[in-house]
Amino acid sequence: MSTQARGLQNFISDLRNAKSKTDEANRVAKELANIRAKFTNSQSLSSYQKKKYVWKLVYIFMLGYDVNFGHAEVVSLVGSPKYSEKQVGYVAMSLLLKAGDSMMNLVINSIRNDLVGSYDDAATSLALVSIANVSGIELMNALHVEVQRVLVSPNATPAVRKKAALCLLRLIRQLPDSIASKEFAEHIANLLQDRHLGVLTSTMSLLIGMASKHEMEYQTMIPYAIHILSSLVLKRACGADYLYYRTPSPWLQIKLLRFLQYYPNLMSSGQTYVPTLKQILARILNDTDVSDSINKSNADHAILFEAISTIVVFGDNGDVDLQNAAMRLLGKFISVREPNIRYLGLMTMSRLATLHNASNKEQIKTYQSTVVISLKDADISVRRRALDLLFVMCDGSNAESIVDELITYLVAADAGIREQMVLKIAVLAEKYALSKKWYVDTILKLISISGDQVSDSIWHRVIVIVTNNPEGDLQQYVAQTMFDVCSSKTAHPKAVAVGSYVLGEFGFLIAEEAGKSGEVQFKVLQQHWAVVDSATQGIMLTAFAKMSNLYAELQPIIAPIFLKLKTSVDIELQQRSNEYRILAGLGPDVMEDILREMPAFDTEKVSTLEIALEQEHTETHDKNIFSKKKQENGEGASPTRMVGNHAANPPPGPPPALEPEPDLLGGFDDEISVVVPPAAPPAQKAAVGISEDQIPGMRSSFAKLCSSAQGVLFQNAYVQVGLKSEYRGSQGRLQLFVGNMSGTPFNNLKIHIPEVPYLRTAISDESGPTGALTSAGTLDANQQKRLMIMAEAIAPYADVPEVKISFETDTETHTYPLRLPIVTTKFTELLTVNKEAFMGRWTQLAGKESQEIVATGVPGSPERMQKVASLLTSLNFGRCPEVDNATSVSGCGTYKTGAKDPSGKNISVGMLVRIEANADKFRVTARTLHPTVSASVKTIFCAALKEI
Amino acid sequence: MISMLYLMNARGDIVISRQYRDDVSQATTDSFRLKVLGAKEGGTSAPIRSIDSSTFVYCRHLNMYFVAVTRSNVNPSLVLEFLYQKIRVLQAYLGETFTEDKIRNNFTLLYELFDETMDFGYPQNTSIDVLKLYINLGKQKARVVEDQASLTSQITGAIDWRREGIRHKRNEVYIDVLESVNLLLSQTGGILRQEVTGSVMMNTKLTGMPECKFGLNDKLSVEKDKNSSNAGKSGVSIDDCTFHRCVSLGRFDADRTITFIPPDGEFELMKYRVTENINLPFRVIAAIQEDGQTRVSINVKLSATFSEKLFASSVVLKIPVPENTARCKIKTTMGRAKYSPEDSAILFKLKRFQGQSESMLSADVTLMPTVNKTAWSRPPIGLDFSVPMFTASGVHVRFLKVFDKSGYTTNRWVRYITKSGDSYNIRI
Repeated sequence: MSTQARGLQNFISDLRNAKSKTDEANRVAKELANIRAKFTNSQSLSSYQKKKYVWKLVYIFMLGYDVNFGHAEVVSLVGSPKYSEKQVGYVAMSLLLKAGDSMMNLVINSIRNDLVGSYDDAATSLALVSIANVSGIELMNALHVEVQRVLVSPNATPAVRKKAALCLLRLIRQLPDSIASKEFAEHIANLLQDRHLGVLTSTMSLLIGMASKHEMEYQTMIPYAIHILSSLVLKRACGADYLYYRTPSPWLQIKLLRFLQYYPNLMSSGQTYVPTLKQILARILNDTDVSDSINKSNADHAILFEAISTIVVFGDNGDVDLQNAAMRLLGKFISVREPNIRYLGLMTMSRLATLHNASNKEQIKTYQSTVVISLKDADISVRRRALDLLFVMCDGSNAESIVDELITYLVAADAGIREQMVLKIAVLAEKYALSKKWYVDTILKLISISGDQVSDSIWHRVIVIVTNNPEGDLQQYVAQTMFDVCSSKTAHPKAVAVGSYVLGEFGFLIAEEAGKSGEVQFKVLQQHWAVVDSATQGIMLTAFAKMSNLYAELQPIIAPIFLKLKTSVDIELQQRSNEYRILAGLGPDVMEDILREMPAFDTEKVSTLEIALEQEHTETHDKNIFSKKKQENGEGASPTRMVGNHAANPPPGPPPALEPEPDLLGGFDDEISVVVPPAAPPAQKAAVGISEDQIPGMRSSFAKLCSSAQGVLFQNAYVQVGLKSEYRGSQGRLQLFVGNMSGTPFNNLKIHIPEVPYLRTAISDESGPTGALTSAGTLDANQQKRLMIMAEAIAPYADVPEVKISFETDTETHTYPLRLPIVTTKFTELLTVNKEAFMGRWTQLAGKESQEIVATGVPGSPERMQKVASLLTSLNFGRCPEVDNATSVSGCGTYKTGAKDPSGKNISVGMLVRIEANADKFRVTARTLHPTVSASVKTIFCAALKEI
Repeated sequence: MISMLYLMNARGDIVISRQYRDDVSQATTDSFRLKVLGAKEGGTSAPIRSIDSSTFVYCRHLNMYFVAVTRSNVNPSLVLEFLYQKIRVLQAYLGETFTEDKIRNNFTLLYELFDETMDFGYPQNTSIDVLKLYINLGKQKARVVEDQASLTSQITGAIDWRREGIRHKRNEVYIDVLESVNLLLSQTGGILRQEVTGSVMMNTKLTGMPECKFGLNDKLSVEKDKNSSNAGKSGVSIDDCTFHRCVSLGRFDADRTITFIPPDGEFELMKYRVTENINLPFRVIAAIQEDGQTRVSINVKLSATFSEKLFASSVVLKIPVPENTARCKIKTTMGRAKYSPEDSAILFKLKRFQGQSESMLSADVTLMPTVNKTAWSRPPIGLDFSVPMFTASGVHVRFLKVFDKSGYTTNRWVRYITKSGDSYNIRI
């Protein structure tokens, strides 16, 4: 290039020599002005000049300046017949043009000519490369057929074929549906018989890209892949060009193995190639040696680890001998000094350890001490892997020793790994606890060693377990221990938090003992007051409240504390101290009742710790077979998931004891809002709204209307609001009746339905459609106003639309915000399926469920189940009785929306719901494709079940 | 109060630091480096940043940051004033544009200055004249202090900015009135913002401890004198003014006279601001028309409104053109003009511009068509100038009287100059 553009070189050296950013920007501005001046009459430019200025533009663009002209010159260069110009044009095009630029259309034709019309390999390759790099949707739509044609064309040279395969890979990553997989598989099969290893490697990249999306379509490629693999591994047939340090094309080998990993059931398929595959894997395992050349051994190890990954993927269907051999080999690797190999060894071993192979499990335990050494490695990533492996290899027999080992190490561990360690120790301790006391001791040890890393969920868990196990002397033991821990002035704030809670709850169990009276307990806690954070102080306040209830002698000491904190800056402390102070004045009975011991926690939940762990495991690489597997199999396959009865989803929040004041609106504040109308209107009329005592009634009439077509939505002394509804598919027609019961006329009656994004609504009254979603007018005494509402669902939603009715009488203004029972299930169409279909869908949607437990307080009976079943039908779900037993009811339906998908069909969402009864409780599980729909269906059922 | 003071270069290395209190650690400088310098926000955002309960107040000199760290609720303008004064002190010792290397070569001096100007986080004496009495390194060569004993009484006395016994052969006072005009005119010629900020600089070479009385044609003081001599003349209404600390504010408040015992040498006597009745020195009439996507035609007339006896020097008119300008054809009646792509503007330069004269510029601009069409933002025309012996506010010095026991006569020299401020813009 030095001969071809002096000006360019000078320009670049000017920019390099620029002293500051502004100098550079000025030089660029000058150059751009120059190029603009030249390009205004581009006809007179020679090809040399054109090239030179386009190069400059490209360079300026790469420096990050905006280049918004010169595209026409670029396009003309692309179309030029000379290679040197074409090359500049393509480079500039792939940088300067973006997908969606209007200039794109002009280039597409030139590219197409280069792609198919030209017999020049170089031009075709340029075209392919730039298609891959620019990859705009229009470009792809216009050219993907040509690219495929080039790839399969019999005349194409290997170089072009390689590029075409890779270009196609880029295309299908963006437009996955551009290739008809079935037909294309044949072409791929042809390509896989190519003798050129380069073509094979590129084709394998393409194949992996495609198989990661539709693996079933490419199952027929397996024999070809195994054939190539066997010729590489067993026969070592490979041209000299593709030998890398005497290893035959390691990249191709790795790609082939990775492709095979998409078919985990391969080994058990009984096909003829299975023995060959075993032989290949065995050969890789046995023949890999440590070589002098670092490149050689890197290549060999890469293949080896890929082979082991393949064995892991084949999993329990695979060959046990291979697994054992792999395990032996990994055992060797995890004790070598080279950290990279050790890292890979540890990682692969922890994958291998998840297989349910008994001999494997035993074997892995023999490496425990080796792994522990790696835990002390200088390299943090090695330590992380070692920790993962220890976590996976832990089971009932070695849990105690591993946990002890980890705790010993935790003392010395640095901050980078501590948090993960603490989490893992906590999970292991809980999972394999020999006794509850041991578990509690372990967590306390964790807090004392590394309290800052102990997340709230860990110690919340301790409290849940202690509270739920009133048998034996666990609670007393814990109270005792916490008392001892908190007695020390230097106790960790987290320990103080646990201590406060435990002594508040179970302190009375040890109060009889000498030197541990309530007063002493109080003092032990109070000494930490100044050093702990406000959340802990809040827990302490609750503990104090409980203590002052238990020990009369403490009341005069504790009351001033509440009094003082009444004006605390911390709003939480302020609220608590106020509440507890007033509580003390409500009399001993109320106090007794509210400050009673906490009931057992709901144990139908998975430990939240595991959820935290799960989150850490999520990987982003979409092609990785391991993450893919995890997504597909959902719960069952994930190695860290605990089997047992402690388990679950909703985040725990602080222990419920923190809110002793009964919440007036319960958990359903969002269901009905008590509106205090904004400051009285000018006429000084008294404002009237929904009174609080009507709320339960409204809630139940709302729930009834969810499952029936007509009824009364709201009623008081002034007004009655009734509703009649009719639904068909995604559309519904409602009639809203507003009756004046007061005896005086309503002035300025307004009925307003705020617009919501998920519903298309229109309303009309007697006089015809009203423009906005509002109807206004007057209503005389004992008259009724009727309003038609048309609604069409266009998106999933969880909340419901509102209607706001407001009017004025002579003395008062009334405002009633009411929730309209236009819920998801109204747009549902009943669906009846058989058992297989139901169970199939059910497991398919395993990850997408929404669950809640409803306590009704009415004991279960067969009649009640009958009611539940009819409820299901009234909510437009079809029952599926074959999957049910005496205590469960399941059904399914389709949620219809008026929104169109790209193909013009209405979008609908299939929904499955299952209600299981247990004593007076119901567990409602809704599974649908869409999380909002799941949540919404669940909420509707829960509300309805309460009314049964 | 200030806990630590340090200088950091643009790369984030600490050049020199001095810790006055131990409630902050050296490690806090790291957070400043990362959050302020690392984020490349130095110079673009507020000069005060609170990071982890430490507050950093900083200003920039060349490529160095002067940073004061505090953990208490200090008066930020005090800290900033101190930092700027600190820079002035260093400039007096190390030269106007002192660099990092200069500092590295004079660590002893620097530490001495750090200790002398601040004690336990409280600012101390920052007067250059006084400091150079006893810190005699760098540019400030050793001066024989006649009486070491008088030093203490001077520093702690009522007039610490001037010492006794100064002698000059000729008693002279130079007064410079410097004004800068900021202006923003709308397209239609309406005034959106106009403001003159002025400062009175003084250079005194006077013997003994003279008391000076200074008078401007300020409206209030003129009105007060009306009944005596200056009847009939109206003064300038000064919006606000600040004085050098040698001016006795009590007297000013009582009868609007500016009396002071001046420091020896150069100092800024007062600063003021005027926003009414401003005589704009130039009028600009611009017609800029965009013809379609590819042409812009520009016609600008610049006329000077000040007296024809005066002249303006280095007048630069910056007429913006679109970013994608390809060619400009420019014609002028006087002065030179050319397209400058760096500013994306036409720079119209006139070295000397007589009062009451006018100059025209017309230009035809050809634009390059661009891919993504964005409308031109039409930034305002900017104007740079300086007009000697002209004050845009109309302020002039009425008198300066010098009283000394010895009763010597004083030569007084007065100069005026008006410059364009940071923004003298006309919207188009």
